[in-house]
Amino acid sequence: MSRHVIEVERLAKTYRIYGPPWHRVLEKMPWIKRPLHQAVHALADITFAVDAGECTGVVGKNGAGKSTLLKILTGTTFPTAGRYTVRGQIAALLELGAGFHQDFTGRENIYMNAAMMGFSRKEARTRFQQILDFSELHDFIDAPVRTYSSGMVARLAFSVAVAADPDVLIIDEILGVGDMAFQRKCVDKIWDYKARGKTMFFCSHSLYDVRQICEQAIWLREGRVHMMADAVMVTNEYATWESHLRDKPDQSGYEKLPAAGPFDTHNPPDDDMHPRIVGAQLVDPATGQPRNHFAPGDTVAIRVHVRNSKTPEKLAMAIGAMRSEGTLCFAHSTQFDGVRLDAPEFVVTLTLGNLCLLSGEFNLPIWLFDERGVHRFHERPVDQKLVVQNRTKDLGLFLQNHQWQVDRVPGSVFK
Amino acid sequence: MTSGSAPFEKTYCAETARHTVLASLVPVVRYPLEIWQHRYLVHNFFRRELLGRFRGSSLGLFWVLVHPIVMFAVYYLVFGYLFGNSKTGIAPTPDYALYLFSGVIAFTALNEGITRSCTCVVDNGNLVKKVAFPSELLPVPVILVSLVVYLVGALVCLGVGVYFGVLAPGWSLWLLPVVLLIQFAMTLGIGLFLANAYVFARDTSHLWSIAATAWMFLTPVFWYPHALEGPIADGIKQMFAWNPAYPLLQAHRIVLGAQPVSYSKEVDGVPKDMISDLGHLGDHLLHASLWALVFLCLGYAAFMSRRHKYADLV
Repeated sequence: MSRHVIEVERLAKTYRIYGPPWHRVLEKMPWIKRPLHQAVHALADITFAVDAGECTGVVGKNGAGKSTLLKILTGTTFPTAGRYTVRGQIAALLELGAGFHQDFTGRENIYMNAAMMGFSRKEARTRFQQILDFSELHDFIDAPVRTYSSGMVARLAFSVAVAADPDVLIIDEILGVGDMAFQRKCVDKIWDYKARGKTMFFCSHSLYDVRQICEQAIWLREGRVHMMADAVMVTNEYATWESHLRDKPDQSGYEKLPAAGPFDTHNPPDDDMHPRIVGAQLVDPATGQPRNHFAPGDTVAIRVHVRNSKTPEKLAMAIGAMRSEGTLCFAHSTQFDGVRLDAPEFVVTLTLGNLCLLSGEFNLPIWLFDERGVHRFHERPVDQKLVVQNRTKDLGLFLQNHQWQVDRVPGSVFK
Repeated sequence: MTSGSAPFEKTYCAETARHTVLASLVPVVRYPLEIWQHRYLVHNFFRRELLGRFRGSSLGLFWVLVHPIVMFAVYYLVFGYLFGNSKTGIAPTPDYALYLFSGVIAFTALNEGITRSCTCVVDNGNLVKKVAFPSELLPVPVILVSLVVYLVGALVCLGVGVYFGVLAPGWSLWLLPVVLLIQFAMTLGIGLFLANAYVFARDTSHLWSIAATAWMFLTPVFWYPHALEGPIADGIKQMFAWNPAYPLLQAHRIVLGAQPVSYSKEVDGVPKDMISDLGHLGDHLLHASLWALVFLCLGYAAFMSRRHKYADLV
């Protein structure tokens, strides 16, 4: 028998939506023949399996059934059809701080949450310090949670949840919590989990995060597994489908579709605790002087000055080019090209030989990551926009390497 | 519903899961064990429930004590002076006030435990929806709080009763925990049943508050059983056998040391001195525990058979 950690077989979940509340009871009456509810199929026929140590991402539009699936696996709600098996202790980070009582102190809430997760008094006592240290809320632990900021609540909740050290961790859309430093800790914790061979189930709108963290991904669409494969493949397919969807005006009823990459800006506090991009310029590689007007075929250099944190981090940097409407034309990362960035202060120069962009203005975003490319320390664009001016009459975005050939077809009917 | 062969292995199959009331009845034998195993969780909920009520008030838990004292004082003054010796002005006997007080604290504990259990699943909706934990434990801390409030009231009752010489607690006081255990089980059973109903129909709490009022007046909380006369009174006395609160209430009073009441009654035109005792403690305990057992099984089975739907409905 196979020993998958999570096995899901033909799982389905149907919600019944009733109009007036008494219809629920009325429907049970023998003389009522037609159903009084409207059935909503949140999940329809889901089958998959996850092995130990795998990290599986779940992507899909709002309402595709992601949260329902995670809730079923956690055990809070139950499927209407099908079966599932979870082998191992499971913990979920569904909605951070859901179990907190606002009037109680952080300390009391830690004990309460620990008890909810099945800790005994002794276990809760031993883990308390660990939870407190991780949350870094020492000064506020005896203040009521109602006085906490949302970031502090999230920190407390995350700390409690990971203290359980479960075999299977279910994460729903939570990596955006807390301040920079705490986000970093969360990401580190997740990598630590991966390193120890724990299984993770990860649901996020950030396709970038899914690609970076997960090996495989599931694309849920209208309650069905639309695709399950390698994370890079699924996220690419999904991004394509989604941008296609975005172009259609009649689909605009959906909530603001998430960006397919890390396009929001993160600005770290200006201190020596956080790596940051001090300056970024477009330069002419021949003269070394600032210049931002180029022509296709030119060589362009982007010079980025980075100051590392007090204790130098291992960093990764990505630089891209984005058109004004948000199309990312390219992005290159030191992570993929195997470049080490760990000096206390350094200047990175990215040289783009034989520029193949055609006319247009391009924003050049720079991302400063941790070495695994997940946690974003800083994001900012290059000071100047890259302006490309054609010398030729070529149309479009790129100057594609091209060649024409004309072959005469012999024996044509026209002499 | 769920089965585990290896530690932490959990399988759920919607096709074979049995959600009938009968199938959920058998595991009731595991319920006390489950409460015990989750005692730390219950303890935390209990704290939250008890302290949560008084969070922000400066006197805090002291209110638990103030309330019964004031309540007794009011009973004593109202029924002693206003309805009793208002003309003579002699210090009234506290007999009736104590009788009333002992009945009220016991019935209030029962009523409040049930009323709060009724809404407990919905009140903790954000937990039920988002955290996988045994929600059948939710009424337990609520009822424990009502019992603690009762205990404080009982303490006041005992103090005042012994001071006035109305109560003479004896060895039977040792049976108080037994009475409380029976009350706990009965409240839990009814509470689970109503909590389940409340998830599906929010009218349940209103229905219950009406039913509870009627129940209180049908139970000798305010009146002496011997004070009722005539054919209707006989009917009501017959109903004692079907009133789960009757044996419980009388057991409470006996355990606290209530004494038989002497009164005079005309028999064939001749006034005779009669003594109304509260009945036999053993009978009361037996009856009450039978009721408690029935309610607990019923309530537990009803709750557990529908529990899988709660997260979608609260």
